[in-house]
Amino acid sequence: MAESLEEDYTYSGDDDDDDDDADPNDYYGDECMEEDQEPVDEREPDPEYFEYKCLTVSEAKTFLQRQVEELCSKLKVDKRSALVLLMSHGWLIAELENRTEQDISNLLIEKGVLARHVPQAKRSVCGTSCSVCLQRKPRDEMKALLCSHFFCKDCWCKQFEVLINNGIASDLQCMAIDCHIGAPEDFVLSFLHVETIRKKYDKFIFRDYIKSHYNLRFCPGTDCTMVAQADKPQSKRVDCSKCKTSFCFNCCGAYHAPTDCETVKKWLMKCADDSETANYISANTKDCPKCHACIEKNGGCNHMQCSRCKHDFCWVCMGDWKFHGTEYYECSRYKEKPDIVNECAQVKAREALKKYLFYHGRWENHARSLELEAVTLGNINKRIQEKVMKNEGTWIDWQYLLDAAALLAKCRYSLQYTYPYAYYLESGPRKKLFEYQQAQLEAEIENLSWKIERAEKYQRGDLQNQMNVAEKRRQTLFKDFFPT
Amino acid sequence: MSGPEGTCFEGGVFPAKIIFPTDYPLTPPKMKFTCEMFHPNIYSDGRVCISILHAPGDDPMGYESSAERWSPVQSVEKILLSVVSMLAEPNAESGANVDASKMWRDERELFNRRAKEIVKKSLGLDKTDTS
Repeated sequence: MAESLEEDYTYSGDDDDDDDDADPNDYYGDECMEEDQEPVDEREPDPEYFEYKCLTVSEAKTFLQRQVEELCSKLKVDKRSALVLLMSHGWLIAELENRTEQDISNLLIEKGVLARHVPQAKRSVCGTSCSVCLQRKPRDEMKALLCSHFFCKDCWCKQFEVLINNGIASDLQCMAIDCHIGAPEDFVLSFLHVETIRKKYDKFIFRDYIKSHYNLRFCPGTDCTMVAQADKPQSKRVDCSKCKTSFCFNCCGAYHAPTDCETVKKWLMKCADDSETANYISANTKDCPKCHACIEKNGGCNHMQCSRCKHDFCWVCMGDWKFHGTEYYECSRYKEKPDIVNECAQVKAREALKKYLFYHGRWENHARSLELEAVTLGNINKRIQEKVMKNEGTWIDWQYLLDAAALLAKCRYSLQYTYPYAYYLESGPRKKLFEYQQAQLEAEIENLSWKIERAEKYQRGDLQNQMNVAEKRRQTLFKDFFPT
Repeated sequence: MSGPEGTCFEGGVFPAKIIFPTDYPLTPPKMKFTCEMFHPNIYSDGRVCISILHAPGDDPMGYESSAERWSPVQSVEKILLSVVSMLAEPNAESGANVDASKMWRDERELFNRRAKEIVKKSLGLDKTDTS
């Protein structure tokens, strides 16, 4: 599709690419947003590399306009038809350009651009009374789409206003029953006189265009209006050039490599659904050692009686209460785990829960570390200020600390998203390899975090080296487990 | 509204309210049965859930792009007709009352009996003094 056009919008992102964030000469690392692009080494393509552009609203509009024009000239149809066809085919011109004329006109009828039969003028039948408000109106106030269902101006206007306020824009249709003739933009706009509603219409219709577009995505950042464009939509990272939000192009959620969109969605849903319940169950309940009923302890006494099987046991050691006798604290002695490893459903459920909580705990922990390290970054900034004030080097000399913090954040973020991946990975050699690499990455990240927090004690070279190692680990893991 | 003949709701007389919004007819009215009802497409509080009464852009079940939608030229008569045909032929796929949908689908006999009870109640007949 419109390759020739897209060059116009390419900004020269690749020019200030560095092949390594830890490049000691890179003092301007945090100014550009290409942290994640790279290696110049073409034999080993970076699995995270993704070609995309960030367009402003007007750039995106121009781009869409050109696509419409291109289809107009290819199919010899008017703009309105081209627009509707594009919207119903994800704006893939290639899918439309080879259709036969008959095919296209059928599509246009189906989409309510053309009327199936040439309608007879119903105006005389309706007289000059509008069938919505049932009032008699002068002839020139009665308007209709090409289906000749006439309604008065006021009713059209009110109808459009109500629908637009409900978020409907590109799907506005004729008001008649079972009439699916769509209302083109200029028709709608001719009834909208209030500036705010015109703006709303404009905004929604643009939203509908982008939402239907195969190659375009809205930046999910709060109040951000940028549009990301990629020739080959993939689940790769996009950094908004305006609000700096990074998101996955495919699902528009937070960037989640090396986990894929489906898995991360499942994971997040699971976390939202039952992490709290699961935590509670795990913390406050135990299974009866005899019948495995789930028991919640709601009093202080450790002598428990299962309400189901009436088994008496000790909450602390889970052993039979009979043997406790008078020496209650005997149960503080370590004993072999009693033989309760039955294949009972509840044991399994608890195992599954344990597994989930293991991964969820780590996931949460890294999320928290990320927050704390954001605070560290603030402190680094302060420290740099102080040092510069005391004439201990210039701002530029201390820039490497900021680079290190940025790299730490990036690595930890990736590490966080390795946990859902591991959770859903089936056991086997591949999982072993994954967990090995994950552990390696984790170790290096903790080293890096340690060194950044105590940056004064470490040589710059040392820190730089640690950065390289951590990033290398991250890339190794991605190369093996994140599909290019 | 009287229950359609030849269905399990036959003979019943069901009182209902139709509430018109201030911007009627641009947005659809709401309909609510004021008596007890047991039907897949009627919420337990009596609200009726059919496509013709859905406000534009509001598609809670996400299924009805092709179904009959509200239009400002629809009439109250049309709404009532739709509700009668809904009573006759519930749409179990988009259940407003999940229990009723399940029973309609899996235990039709039980559903019919339950409907008969509703009919009797609507006529003010207690279980004991029915013929």
